[in-house]
Amino acid sequence: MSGAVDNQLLRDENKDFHNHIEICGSCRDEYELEKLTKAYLKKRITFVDVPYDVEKAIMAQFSSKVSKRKDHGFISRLFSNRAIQPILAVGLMIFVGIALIFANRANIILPNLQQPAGVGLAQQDALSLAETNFQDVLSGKFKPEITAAAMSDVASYINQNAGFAMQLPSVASADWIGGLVSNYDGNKMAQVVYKMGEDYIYICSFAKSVVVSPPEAKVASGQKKIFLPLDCTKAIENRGWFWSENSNGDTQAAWTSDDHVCIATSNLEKNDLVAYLSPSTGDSKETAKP
Amino acid sequence: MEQALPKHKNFETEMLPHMAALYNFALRMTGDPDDAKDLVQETYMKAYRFFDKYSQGTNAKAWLFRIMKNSYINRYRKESKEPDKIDYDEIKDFYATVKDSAVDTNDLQEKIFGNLFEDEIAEALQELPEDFRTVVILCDIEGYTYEEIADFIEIPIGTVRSRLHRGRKMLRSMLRDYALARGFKDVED
Repeated sequence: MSGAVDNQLLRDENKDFHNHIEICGSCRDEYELEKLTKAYLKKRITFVDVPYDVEKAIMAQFSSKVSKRKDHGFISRLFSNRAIQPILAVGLMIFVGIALIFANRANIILPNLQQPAGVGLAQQDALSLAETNFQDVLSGKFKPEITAAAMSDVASYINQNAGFAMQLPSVASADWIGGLVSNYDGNKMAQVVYKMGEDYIYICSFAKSVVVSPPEAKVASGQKKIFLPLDCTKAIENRGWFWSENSNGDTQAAWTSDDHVCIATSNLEKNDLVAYLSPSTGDSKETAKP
Repeated sequence: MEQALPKHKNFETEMLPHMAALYNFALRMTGDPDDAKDLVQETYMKAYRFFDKYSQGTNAKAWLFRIMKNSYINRYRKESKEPDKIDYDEIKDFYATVKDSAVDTNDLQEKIFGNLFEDEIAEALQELPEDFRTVVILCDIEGYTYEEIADFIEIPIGTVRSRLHRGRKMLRSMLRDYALARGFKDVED
């Protein structure tokens, strides 16, 4: 019966079936009713597009799998070998002990954010890097090279040292604004911090040419060190900007200009952060031009 | 690191285009967008993990459907049996009384099932035992052939055919019950 309804009978089978229903009212009704049910279902159930958040979640999951995958080299296999782990642990403890003794003798001060977290990695997720650095801002480890009350002073400093004109909001209510341009694996990384009481906004920026989106990031090993997650890139393409609340509860926003990419991280709520970053609030954006 | 790139690229090319078909199937099977999302995510996660076992160039969609079907069974399978009280004859009798007076197929559909909302139809689908629901969704909503369905869920074509017949028979009675519950009895009177 279903074979006839779905046109999946061979020619002879089909002919036999139709000959039968010519003389059998019960089978004919059954056949018509089954066809009717199929048609009703097809007509009334619509095909749904994959919702953006589902696609985004899968792509993010996929991206994270890819980035994990790249670590499955000799070193990670070595470290995941259970037989070798105890030997490595003892070796590591001895090494750390010697290093600490040596550091004390040499009176070495551990570097602060002048050398951002993640240096030396083949690739670095820009959002994670920004969050790590923002934690250093909150804990006071961030040491800006310039601190000023006026945005223009910080803007001049950034422009002279970063090599690109960074667009920054001019937050009149800021207690202070700090700026630092550091060298990130051969790439300039411009960082600006705004302190407003207990609230902070940290903005880091890279030239567009050094920031890529996966999967290109994998191809560009040795040259392009920083990547934006795919959902972030998609949002920027679609809306012009990206925002999210990360697992630490901090708000992150990202956007691009002609030649650079900015990532803002803050303990402010999304709407407050957007208000500070938006030119319409009176705290207008200012291009860091000399 | 060098090996990850071809895998990633191949996976992206072969597997990701089927996301919409999988999502729709998951949505109809679970009846819930959040569950559908979880199921699709889980399917892709497993597919990526076991991508080495997939023979490239073969039927990627069938492979993904099989993974999804197994994931669905592990997550959601309940004791599913044919509903106890289904009056298969009522609708057939009713059909016999209205078929001649119907103007066209649409009119006939409306006389029998009324204008049910899509979520009521989805709810009726949910009440179908899983084995029947699977083939009905794949054939009538997703539009796959018997061969494809047999390949997706690894059953003989004859079983696809018989499950479809019984599934549709159950479903039409359920839809009819929904229509009656919504007051379409008047049409009959």
